[in-house]
Amino acid sequence: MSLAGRKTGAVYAYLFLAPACLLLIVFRVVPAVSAIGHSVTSWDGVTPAVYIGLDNFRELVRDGVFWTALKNNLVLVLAVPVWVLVSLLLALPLHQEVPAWKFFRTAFFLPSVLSPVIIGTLFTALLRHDGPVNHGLELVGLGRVARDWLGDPAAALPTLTMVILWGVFGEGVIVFLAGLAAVPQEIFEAARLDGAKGWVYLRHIVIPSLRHVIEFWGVNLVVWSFTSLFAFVYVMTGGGPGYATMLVEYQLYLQAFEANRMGYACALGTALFLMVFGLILLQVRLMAEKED
Amino acid sequence: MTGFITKHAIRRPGRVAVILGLLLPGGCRRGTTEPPGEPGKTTITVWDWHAADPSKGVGLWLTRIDRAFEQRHPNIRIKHVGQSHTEYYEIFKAAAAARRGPDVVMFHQGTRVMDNRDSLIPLNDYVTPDFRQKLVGWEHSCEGYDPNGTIWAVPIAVQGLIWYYNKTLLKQAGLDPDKPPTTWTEFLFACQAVRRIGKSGIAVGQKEGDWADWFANSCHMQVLTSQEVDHLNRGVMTWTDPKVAVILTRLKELNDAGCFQKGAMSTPLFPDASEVFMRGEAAFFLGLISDVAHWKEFGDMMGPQTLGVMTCPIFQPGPDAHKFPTGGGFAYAVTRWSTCPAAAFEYIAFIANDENAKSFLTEVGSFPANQHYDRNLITDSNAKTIAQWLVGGRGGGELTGRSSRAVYDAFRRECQRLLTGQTDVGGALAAIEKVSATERASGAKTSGASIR
Repeated sequence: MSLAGRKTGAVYAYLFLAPACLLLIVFRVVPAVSAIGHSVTSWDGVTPAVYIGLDNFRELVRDGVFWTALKNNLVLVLAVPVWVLVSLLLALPLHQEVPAWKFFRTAFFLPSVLSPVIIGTLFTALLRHDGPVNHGLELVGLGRVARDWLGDPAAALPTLTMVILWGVFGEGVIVFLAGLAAVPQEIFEAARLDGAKGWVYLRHIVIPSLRHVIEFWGVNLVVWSFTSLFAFVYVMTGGGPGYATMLVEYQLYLQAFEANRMGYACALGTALFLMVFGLILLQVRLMAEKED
Repeated sequence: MTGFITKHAIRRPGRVAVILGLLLPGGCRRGTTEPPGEPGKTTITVWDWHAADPSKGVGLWLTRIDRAFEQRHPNIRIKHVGQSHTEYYEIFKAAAAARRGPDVVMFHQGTRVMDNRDSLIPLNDYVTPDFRQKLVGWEHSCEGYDPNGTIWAVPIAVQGLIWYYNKTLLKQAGLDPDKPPTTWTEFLFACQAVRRIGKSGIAVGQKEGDWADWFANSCHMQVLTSQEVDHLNRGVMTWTDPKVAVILTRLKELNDAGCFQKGAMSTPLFPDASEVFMRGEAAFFLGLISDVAHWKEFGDMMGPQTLGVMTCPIFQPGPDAHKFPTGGGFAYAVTRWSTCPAAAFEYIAFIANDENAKSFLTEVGSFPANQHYDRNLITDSNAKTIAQWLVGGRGGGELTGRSSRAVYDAFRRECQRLLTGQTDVGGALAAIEKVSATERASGAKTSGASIR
């Protein structure tokens, strides 16, 4: 292609990119920069903000609720490998086209098209003290296990984690199916002919073949576990009982809209952004080192 | 008492609502922006949560009022926008930030009015002495909770917390249905008796933590004077004071004695806990006197002869021990950005007039702030009792009434922790006091709550 042609192509490329970039700047970058700016202010969202330096961040360090929420967030991050593994293990038989695999593929993906609010409401009803889950446990002789799943502080966060897993595993299955489809099938066939199966097959064939897909999905879930679980908490527990299921993003919401402390909420948001950014950097660095 | 702020609502629609709220045209417009056929009309945009369901209750009552007002003022059109109750203050906050949206806005009296008063106009110039004299509850909408302070909103309803009981269950449990428990010992005994017939003592919704707050408000007058409550909210008295500890000790005692229905910690107060009571699965319910979860709703469902009303059983006798807490209900205010504040106030005054106070009581079953109504209009025996108590000064103040939102949230969550064994009374109160002290140190304005 001539130089002029390349220039014209570049102009068109920029023109096509411009609307998306504009939307990104207006709805992502500007609010983010504004939030960072407001994190050093005392602001109720209506009256003019007053600069207070790093006071919000000092308060954040001393805020016991923040540390509890962060600890809960980290528990969810620890659950990410489980979320990844469940999706991967369910994707494998589907990839091998076990009987009724098309039905299962649809069934697995179904929760992904449901809003977290619907999932939260559904499981809130199922997990009630007098709900179907406890009735079912009693029917099979496990009545002693039955409990107030969302009202018991020891059970609330693990229960929430399981519900979230139910909400996301289908999407993971589809991601891994797409990844498996992209891997040359000869690799899998050769491994099977060589007698690889079970853990060996998974550990030495599947995981290395899907390495980049696993990385992508893992990073996605880590970010998601910090920034996208608000609806589950809002609908199912309200962060309680006490602070048992409080997450940083939910605390941010409470500070912003319940306590009218937008400045402090912005500080929480800034801290959350930095933490997630740091975690992703760490995750990517670790993966890159492993690849080297 | 923010139990009304239920947690059922959804986030995404909430976001959409915020955006839609911002996009809503401002009120009091003339000419070109009006619908065809209405040139020159003034439009007053009214926001509230009741209008979201205009088919019954307060929503229906307001719809009728709108039409009546428009008939009397042919040049004014009322545009009533029913907002979600759950995200109401988020939506209003977005409108306030954009300085556009409603001309007239409904608030829960107390904290919510005070927290948003930067977006409201003072109404002192509009409120006539005669109008002022007719209504009660001004103090819940006035600066500094001083009835003579700047008026930010006009009270429409009187709200209060009262204990309801199921006479049939008491009878089945071998108790006298016409003599509800008046002492703490009798109350615990009644709960145990009801449990023995396979029912629960109290229908409790503690998912949001509101029930504990309601309980504390219902009984605090037994241990704290109104001055002490004021001192508590101003930080002169600490939350770790032994007198406050008595209240949480009694709360824990109810829990430990098995008085609550199973699963109370994950049950929302509205509507689930009130439905437990209405289904006859629990003998007692701590409810309201107006709007919802009140004598009319329960009476319609259970039959008025099945329903009884009582104040909190007494564990510590005193001059105010027999009182029940009353406070502001909902109120209307005029926004700072309204271009027709006079017309907006006229509409509010119309809602609060004598005629509508009467229909508020007879149609909705709520106690109006306007006291110029005939008490003989009340036919329901429980409502009569409440009305007599209100007139006789049996109503009192609230405990968490003037706490900031942060202290209020801490109180609810620490009570959840207390009831689930994550802390003890001392630990819970120390945590609340810590939040309160932080608030005081940062100079946060203590506002006030009402029965929200």
